[in-house]
Amino acid sequence: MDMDRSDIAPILELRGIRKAFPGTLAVDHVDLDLRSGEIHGLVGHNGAGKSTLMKIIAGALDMDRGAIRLRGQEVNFRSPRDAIDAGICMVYQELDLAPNLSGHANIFLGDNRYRTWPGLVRKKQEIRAASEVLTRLGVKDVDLKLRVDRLSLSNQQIIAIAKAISKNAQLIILDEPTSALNESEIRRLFLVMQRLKKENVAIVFITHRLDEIFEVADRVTVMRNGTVIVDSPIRETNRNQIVSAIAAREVLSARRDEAEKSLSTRVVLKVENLQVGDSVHGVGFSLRSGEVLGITGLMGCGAIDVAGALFGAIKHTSGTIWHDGQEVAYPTPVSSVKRGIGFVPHDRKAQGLVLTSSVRNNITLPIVRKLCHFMLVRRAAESRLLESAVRQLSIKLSKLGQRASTLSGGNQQKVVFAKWLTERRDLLILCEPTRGIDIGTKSEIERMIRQLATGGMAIIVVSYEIEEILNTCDRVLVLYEGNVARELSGRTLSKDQVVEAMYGGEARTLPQG
Amino acid sequence: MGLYELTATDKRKNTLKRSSVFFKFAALRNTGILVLLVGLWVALSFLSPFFFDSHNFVNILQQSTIVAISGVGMTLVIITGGIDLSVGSVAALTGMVVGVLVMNLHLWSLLALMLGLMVGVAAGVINGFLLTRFRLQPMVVTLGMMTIARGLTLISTSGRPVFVTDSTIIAIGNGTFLGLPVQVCIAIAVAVVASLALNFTFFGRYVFSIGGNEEATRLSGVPVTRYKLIAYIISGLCSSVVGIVLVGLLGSSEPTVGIGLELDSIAVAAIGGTSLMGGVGGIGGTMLGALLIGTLKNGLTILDIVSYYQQVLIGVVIIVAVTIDSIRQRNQQ
Repeated sequence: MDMDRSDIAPILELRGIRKAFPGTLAVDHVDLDLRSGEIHGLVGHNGAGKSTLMKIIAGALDMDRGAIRLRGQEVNFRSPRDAIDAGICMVYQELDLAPNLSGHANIFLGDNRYRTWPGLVRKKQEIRAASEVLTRLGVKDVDLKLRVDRLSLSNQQIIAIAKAISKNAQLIILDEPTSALNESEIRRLFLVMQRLKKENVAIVFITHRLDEIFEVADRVTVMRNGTVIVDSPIRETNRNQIVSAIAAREVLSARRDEAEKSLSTRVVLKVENLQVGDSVHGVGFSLRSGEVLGITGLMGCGAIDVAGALFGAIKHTSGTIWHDGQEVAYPTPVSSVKRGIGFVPHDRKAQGLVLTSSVRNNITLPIVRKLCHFMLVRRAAESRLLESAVRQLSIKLSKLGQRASTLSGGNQQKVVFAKWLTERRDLLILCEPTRGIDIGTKSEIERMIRQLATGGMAIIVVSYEIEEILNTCDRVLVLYEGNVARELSGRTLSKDQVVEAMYGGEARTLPQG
Repeated sequence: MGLYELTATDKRKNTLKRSSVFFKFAALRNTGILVLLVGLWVALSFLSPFFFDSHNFVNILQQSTIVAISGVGMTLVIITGGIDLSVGSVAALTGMVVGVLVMNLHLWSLLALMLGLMVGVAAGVINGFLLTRFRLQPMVVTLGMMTIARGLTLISTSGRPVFVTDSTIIAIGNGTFLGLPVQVCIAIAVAVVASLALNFTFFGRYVFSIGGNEEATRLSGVPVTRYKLIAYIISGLCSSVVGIVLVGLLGSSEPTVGIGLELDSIAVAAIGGTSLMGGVGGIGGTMLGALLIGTLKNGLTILDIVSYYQQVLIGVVIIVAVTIDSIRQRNQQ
């Protein structure tokens, strides 16, 4: 933040960038200037277009329209290789390092400087060169000879940055580098970023934490729905302005204005001080039947882990859970299903469906044992249950024996739902229930969640999509780094409030406008 | 059909399928191998006057039983996404235990047989426990068990065979029941029971689900660990049955019997369309696979082809059968 560099000619200029994916316009009309020796913060919701834009710069995606000028020259990167050769490197969140190779080998991977024919490596020279790169970054405590998968995530990240520097990167894009780091690791990363800045490298820093932007960035750009909303030097803006720009204050849907309906007094689930590993640090709430509780936050806030721990998909480290007034010491999927809980996991293909099996086998998997008579499945009774579930959810299929893998994404998700609707259940835990499905099915599912709640079911919806939360929930817990930042319900439940809390804001009202 | 909302393309596909019996037949899982098997029978009937003969068919069945029985257990385990390399060694250990109990310790033969079956159960429990409790790879655990069981077999009699003269046990290998060799009857019984279990019980549903997606199955409230364990126990039991049949057949407990049986079992399962990735397969296919291998061995011997060449030809057939199956599956999708 030492000086304003707005008057210096940018190293990279983006003009009128546009990129569409089937069904969405990911990036539209984006102009952006990136300058050497400047840390450029980039913020916005998941899906605001940040990553798409950066992947275009880094050559990982083609743009549909627009121009990129590097030092005044128009360029067209056809692959990440082209971008790297031009001095532009992106350090992805899921660091693309070779896990089984040492640090120095990773830094010079794909670089033939220390290679001799026939493929031997001058190891000593390579190690020396690699440690010089680290010295330039001001880092000393990374063991370059260790396989990188033995290093901490933070050290792996340093290796990835060193790899970029060894390729003479002039522009480095850091995609949410702090999301998985602890406080001291973040400090070190910031020092490295400052070092790079002094060496006149341009840095793009993507993050969800506004404090970090104000601490380290020289300039900030806010994206929303694929366009740039704010682009300003850091000292000409403030936190509230940024939050408003991210949230896009809008008039809320009328549902919020409904009089608060009278809820039943039966507490289905009560949770106190739930902790899970290092992702959830003490979450508590109670849930009544007929109520839809939303749990949201930024990605990595721990919401998914709360849901998983309640069902027993993952183990909680401490805390107390009461289901129907009974304390549950160690929930497991087996015991949870027996107690009448249904669980829709967030990753449909990896956790929700048996793709190789038929729709029939998938839907009745949780109850098939009860449908048996002397171990034999009573097909007729099963088919009756299946038919009513299929009708209730209007799942489109040609026959019950159809393989799950042949269904569309939306219908697959309905099959995962149907698993829990063939039998009376009093609690449903839904993780990102509409992720990756078409808009039509999405609103169908949202409507169904409301219907089920009206029928007396208690429902937990974990979602990173604010719209979905607002459309379905009566009450919302907003998590920030594993803690409940705020609990919102009734008239206090608004998009602004949710967004403010998501970014770790205090409970205060924002100036309108 | 009015129940489900059909899209236009779905409807077209349906009528297409209905309209042609051929399509329906071609879509069945084991059509390719069935055609191959019948083709082989026809070809061999022309090539040799001795092939097409009821005695020879009984011979083929006999030659197929061993790998058919162990293939049943293997199929079950493979469908769960695992593998059991210990089948051959467990068969040998069972045979040895039965032989020693009956001949050296003069135990009542039925009791000895029961104890022999317990060898397979124990091996299955250990395999299943280790790989579920410590999340080890099935290939590695059962490889260890394979070596251990073989070692124990050799230790028990210092590598010498035990000659078995017990009439009950000999009858299992050489007797007939309803005009068929007893061992063939055993294989049929094992296959029918396993096939019923896989297709009509909740156990079968769980086995397919675990192999297709273990995590999704666990999150549906299925005690995955228990059912994986049961699959390995069944495989162990099948191995023990094989061990007992072999003792009856050979009239002695040979410590080196069943070497390579695990690979043959995997081969017949794979030929029969059981996917080594798990989640897909069936007993019927495995039986056809066993018959195919049995037919080949029998036919090539009748044609006086040297056994070294037989191995090459059998290998070729395995690859051809699996290729046909894989092409069919891709066409179906």
